[in-house]
Amino acid sequence: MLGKEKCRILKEIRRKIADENDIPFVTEECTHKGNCRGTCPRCESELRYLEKQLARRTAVGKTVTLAALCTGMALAASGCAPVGISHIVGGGTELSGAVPYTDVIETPEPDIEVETGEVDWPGNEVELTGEVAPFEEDDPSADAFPFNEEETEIYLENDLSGMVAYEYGE
Amino acid sequence: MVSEKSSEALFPLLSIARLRMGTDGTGVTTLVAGAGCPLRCRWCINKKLLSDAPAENVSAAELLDRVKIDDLYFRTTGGGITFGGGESLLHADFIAQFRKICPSEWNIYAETSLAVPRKAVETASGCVSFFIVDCKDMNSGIYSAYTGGDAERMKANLRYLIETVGPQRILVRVPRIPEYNTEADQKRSVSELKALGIENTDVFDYIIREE
Repeated sequence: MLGKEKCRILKEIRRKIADENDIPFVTEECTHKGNCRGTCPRCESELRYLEKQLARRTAVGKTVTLAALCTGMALAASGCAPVGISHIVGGGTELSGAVPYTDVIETPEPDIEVETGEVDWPGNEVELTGEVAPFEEDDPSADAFPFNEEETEIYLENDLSGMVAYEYGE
Repeated sequence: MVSEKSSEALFPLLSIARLRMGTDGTGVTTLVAGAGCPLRCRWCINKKLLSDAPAENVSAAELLDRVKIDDLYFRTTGGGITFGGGESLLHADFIAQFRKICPSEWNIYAETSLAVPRKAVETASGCVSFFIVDCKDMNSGIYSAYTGGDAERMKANLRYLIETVGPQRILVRVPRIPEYNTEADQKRSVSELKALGIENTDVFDYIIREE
């Protein structure tokens, strides 16, 4: 699978998580021109943001919905032979940091449209203005395992005043 | 006194590949490749995988710490960790330890040739969610010529696996191997697999890359 397609699908997964759990979520179209692996700082920061928001929901006793949320978005390994699958093999192939197989299965287009530039949050009719908050590559909480960290901060879920994207605010 | 640490299995980690989709498991998976393989396949993708020595040995907790970054993707897509290699089931004890400490919602996939002792398959059957088996070829002569191994061991382990975990949790890959088998051989392999009860097969071609 090409990186841009992977990036797009991962973004959709993140948006679904946000939608399903009433988490304000703003994302931007990636302007990177080359191939990518879905691991750029912006994509990673969005994931960490969702983890923190879900942890907050858990801390205040709210339901978190994750299981099977996006199971229709990627191919299953089960089932009969995918058409066109190939493995590339050859003696002496350099593998450093890579993996023994090549992604060659095309993933069908998810039946979802990407919404960008505004908070996609049911019931939210506030027009948001201002600058998009920068992602923080060195966010110290980024390595925390989701759902296990202790939350001491009181989260006002509906307080979006002045917030366009998201902030870590520890 | 034997410490608890001394009984901890370690995994000879060669590489971790995140965010794989539809290639080696359902949903979003992370491929964890380990060193060591009992077979010596002519077209092995990398001879590094055959060695037991050069990899970094990690504990189950250390591996979990490296792969948990994609927990949300795993939970929401039915994905998880795919152990590959090399021969993943050489590290069945490690996989069992990892299964115990990783989130129960994660799926554990194993890419295997089943060219391993029965004990490893028994251990894996209790902790692996889905097996992706590369059978090479079901013909003993072709199998031996290509891998240097014994097809009967693979077949016996496959029969055990079918009986133990059921065919729904097994995908068997049947490659067309240049210079070793033909499309007719592939069809014969698929027929034999179906006779054993295998429902999921993946018929594909090895493509030799020019060096």
